[in-house]
Amino acid sequence: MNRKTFLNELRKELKFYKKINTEEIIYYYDEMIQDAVDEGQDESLFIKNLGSIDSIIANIIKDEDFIKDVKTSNKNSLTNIIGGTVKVISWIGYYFSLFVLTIVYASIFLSGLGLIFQAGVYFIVDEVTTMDQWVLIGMILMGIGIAMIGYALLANIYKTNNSIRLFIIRKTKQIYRKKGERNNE
Amino acid sequence: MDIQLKKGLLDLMVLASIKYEDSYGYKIVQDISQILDISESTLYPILKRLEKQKLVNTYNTTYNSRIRKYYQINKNGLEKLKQSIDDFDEINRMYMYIKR
Repeated sequence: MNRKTFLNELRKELKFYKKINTEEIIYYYDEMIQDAVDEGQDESLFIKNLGSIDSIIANIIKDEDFIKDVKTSNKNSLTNIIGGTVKVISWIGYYFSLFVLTIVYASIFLSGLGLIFQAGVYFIVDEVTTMDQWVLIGMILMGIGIAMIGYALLANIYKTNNSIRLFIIRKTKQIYRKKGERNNE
Repeated sequence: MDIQLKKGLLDLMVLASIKYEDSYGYKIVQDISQILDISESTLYPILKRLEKQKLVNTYNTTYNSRIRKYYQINKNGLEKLKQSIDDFDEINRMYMYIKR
């Protein structure tokens, strides 16, 4: 990713956090990247090492001072209520999607195991012909493949759960903003 | 290490990095990286915090026909660093007591 693309993407994501001074952060990273390039670093490698945009935003958000700022600057009680609702809905959405994804991935994993088990049972219980044996071996291999896919997805979900959370929060805010705009019209 | 403790120490590290000369984001990361691992995204909230606590002043200069933001330690910042050294003496005494 080059500097322009990175900054554009960062700006696009920061737009969803009203309390963050987007331009200041853009300036900060713009200067940082240009300084790195001037010092002879590879632009795209440097940007890659900055981490994902989600993790950059997470770093800014998790800073306590920032959160304190948001709390004190929310003098409008209506904003507070809506802010609270967005938060609650975001969290429900987050845990719900985590739950659904876990179930879906777990069932993929289990169906893989099921296929292996079924083929195994046929092998043992039935008198199978050579032709059938090849079909059953195929089934077992497919079962292993499916189970591995399910396992990988399951393992991955907890690695990426921070991005999922940010994504859901962003989407909920987006929906609320659109709703607010419609009400204002 | 305790997060709060580390956070406080990182603030001091950044202050110390501009103790003798004004510096800018990239250089601060490079300087501190020689001692501990600090990422660009960790530095941003620290600089912001120091600025808000009025421990540093900032100014912009033109470099290579672009703007670069410099951070300069002020009287409050220097006072804070001095205070931290006294704190460390106290912490050290506590440490020696714990360790004995």
